[in-house]
Amino acid sequence: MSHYIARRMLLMLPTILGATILIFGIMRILPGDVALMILQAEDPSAEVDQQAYAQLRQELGLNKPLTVQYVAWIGGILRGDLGNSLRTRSPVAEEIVQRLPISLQIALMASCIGLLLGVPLGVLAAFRQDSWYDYGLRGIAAMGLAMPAFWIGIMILVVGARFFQWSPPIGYNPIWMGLGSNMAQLIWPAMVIGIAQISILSRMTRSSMLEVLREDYVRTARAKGISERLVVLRHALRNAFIPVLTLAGISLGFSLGGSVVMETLFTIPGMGLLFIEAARWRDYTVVQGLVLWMVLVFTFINLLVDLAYSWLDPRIRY
Amino acid sequence: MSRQRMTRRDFLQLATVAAAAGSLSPTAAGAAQPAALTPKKGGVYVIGRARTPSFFDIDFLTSVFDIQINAVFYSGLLRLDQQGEVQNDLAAKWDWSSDGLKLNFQLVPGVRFHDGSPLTSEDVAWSLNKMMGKVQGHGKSGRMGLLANYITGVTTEGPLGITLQLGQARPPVVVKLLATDFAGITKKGTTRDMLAKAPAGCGPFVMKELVKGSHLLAERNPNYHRPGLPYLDGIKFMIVGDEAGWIALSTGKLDMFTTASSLRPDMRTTLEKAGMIVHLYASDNANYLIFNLTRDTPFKDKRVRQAVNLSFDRDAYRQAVQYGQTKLGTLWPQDTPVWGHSEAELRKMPGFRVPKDADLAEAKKLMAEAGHANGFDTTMEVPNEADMVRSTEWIALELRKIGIRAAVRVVPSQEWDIFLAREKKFTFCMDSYTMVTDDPDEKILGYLTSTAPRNNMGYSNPQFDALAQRMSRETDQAKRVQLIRQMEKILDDEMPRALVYERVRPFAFQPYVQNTLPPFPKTTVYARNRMDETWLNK
Repeated sequence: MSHYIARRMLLMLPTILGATILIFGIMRILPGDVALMILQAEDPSAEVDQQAYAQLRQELGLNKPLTVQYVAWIGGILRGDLGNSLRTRSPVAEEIVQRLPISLQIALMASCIGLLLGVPLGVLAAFRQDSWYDYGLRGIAAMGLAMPAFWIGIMILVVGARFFQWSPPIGYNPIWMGLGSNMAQLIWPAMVIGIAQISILSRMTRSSMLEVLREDYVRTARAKGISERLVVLRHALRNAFIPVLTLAGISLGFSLGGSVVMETLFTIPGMGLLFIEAARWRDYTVVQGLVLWMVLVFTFINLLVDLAYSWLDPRIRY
Repeated sequence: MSRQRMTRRDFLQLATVAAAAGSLSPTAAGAAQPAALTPKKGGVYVIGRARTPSFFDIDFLTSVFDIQINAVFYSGLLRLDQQGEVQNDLAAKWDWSSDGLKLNFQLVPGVRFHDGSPLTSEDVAWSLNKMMGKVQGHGKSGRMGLLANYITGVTTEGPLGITLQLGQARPPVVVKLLATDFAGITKKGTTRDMLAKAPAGCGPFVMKELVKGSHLLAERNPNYHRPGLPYLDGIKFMIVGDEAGWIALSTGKLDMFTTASSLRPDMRTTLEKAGMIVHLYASDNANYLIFNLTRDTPFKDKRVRQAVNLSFDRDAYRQAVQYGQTKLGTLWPQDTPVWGHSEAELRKMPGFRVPKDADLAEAKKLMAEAGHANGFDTTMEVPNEADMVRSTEWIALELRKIGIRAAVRVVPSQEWDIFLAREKKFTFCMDSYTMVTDDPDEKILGYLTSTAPRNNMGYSNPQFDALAQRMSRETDQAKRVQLIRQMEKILDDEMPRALVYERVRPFAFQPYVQNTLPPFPKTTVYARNRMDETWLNK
């Protein structure tokens, strides 16, 4: 196992390196000049002093060759320094650390909602295959997938305000400042993201369970007189859970990168909102730092999911 | 001091006229809040703002969102009062020299910056030089850099005396610029990096907490130089997007909210039903259709430009694209005190007439005279911004009425400024003109003369330039108005740009909020956001 983990960790290096080259290149190809944008802010017609412009480019290191800029960035990463935001001058790591707990909390809450509701509902639908319950659940799951998250979010805001004179709290309250106020704010985006996850996971659980329930070992377990509860939990679900886990891992990875739409809609200062602002301002260092973070999250979650396979199915050995 | 004072009665009459003109909301008159109420101290004012400020460099900012937060941390030499009159702020007194070529200020003694250090004339001189781009390590202010056109030098006299040397006698715009929020005084020697993290002013509020993307908390400055002010204990700026902001206001989670985009009628109804005071105000931002006169296109012919001006229906545009919330205007929005025209006057001008038939017939005739009876194909460029694209597509459709078949070309927003201002690659497009004060110098010398830094059209007319210089030097307001009218006639004839609309900004607040708005329509949104006289009647 330890050899496998070490090999996977080594294989992650070229993936991460490739990602850094890709995002560094893409950000430079995109039109726009961060120095000009800082100087002109929201008034593109504002007069730009050429001396100030040249000075700012020099300060930001934008006048150096691209290879030098890239090497400097990678060198910084190896020293644990992601650089400073070109726009706000704050350390990128600091910006990410400020936003990370928020996106992390939303992602975990959404994943919990998705797993705790999606998996049992999928199991039930598989057991009651072709019943009204199954049809109903599949219909609801299809609706959950068809309704875009931003639309559900807008409906929560509009219906709440128009009919109940209510809107979610604004301004972020950290969990240590009050669990109630924190949950009151974050439950809504988590729930909206969770709805899509419930739909996906319940459908996947159902189809996976249907496949497993027809396997010989399940029939054998039933023939041995094991209770149905144990058949499901110990034999069927554990085996059916592998694809569900893969999907849940990917969803968690996406959510950890920050739910851009939800964070924008509910004005939650997470990673998604940071990404949007940074991309808009061509804040290269922040975008690069965020993408690097997302690559790391995805590769580590993939590794964890792969390792979990062997726990779920002892036949899998590394 | 030769200043034209506007009495309170004059101001109220103007506000009434503006309200009656139709585009102000019925509740807008309510914005002229009861003067008899005695201000109450205390409370935290919760304001919604679109985004966390990019930085805290008061004069270097250009965005309305940034200035509306930053203004509370700074004080300037001068300020505007609730009637829009220039008053002393950090200046205990000020006067012109007898020849009008010097502007002398004496500072209020004992003022301290938020970090406790004393304010001196050196700080003021340094700040003014910084605004004009004369301080190493700082750029020229996008808004206040205009001062460099008038101020030739800044000298200090002792710890409290400052003198501005001027290139021309008594330029009115200098005083007006110094009374805007952008003219806040920064502690001498503050670096750009320091201002990226925190303000360095001596304004009514001190920054207490900043959670990026969430909120910014400002507390009352106990050492504020204006006695008894501010009334509020603090201000909490909540960072919130457009839709969520209006909803939060309607459900009582905000005391005040404003955005740069139009307010949807259904949202306005929701707000008014919830008891909010809704105020729609125009003055600082006009959107013109500009023609690139440096390129050889059919628009080189002024008859074609005149035809374009005549062809599109601004009233239909207002309803179809901007929820009925724009204003008409030429150089200023209709009903702007002193410089503006009334709607009745505008309706007699080509391009504004109702019904549109006469304008359209004249436009077709001009096109035929210019040799384009069958029209022509062209390109109309637009930055990739939803509101601009919607407007441009609408205008392109309207131009088909006179045979101009304009293909809309969308340019990435980040490329737009280079495309428009530097490389001048456009054929014709919409361009935004912003005003910080109500002084004509800003627009005429900033956008329209042949040397104007933002003259993206490449327009050049020596007669116009000469009039502009005369107007800028003229201190008699009536004579300035006459000169402006002459320049308007030239512009209407040569039509280097045609007004599409004057932006109307929505402001809405809870009925208990007092003294929160800048004195519209006498100034723009860039003045009087310090909130030191704002209070909560609850």
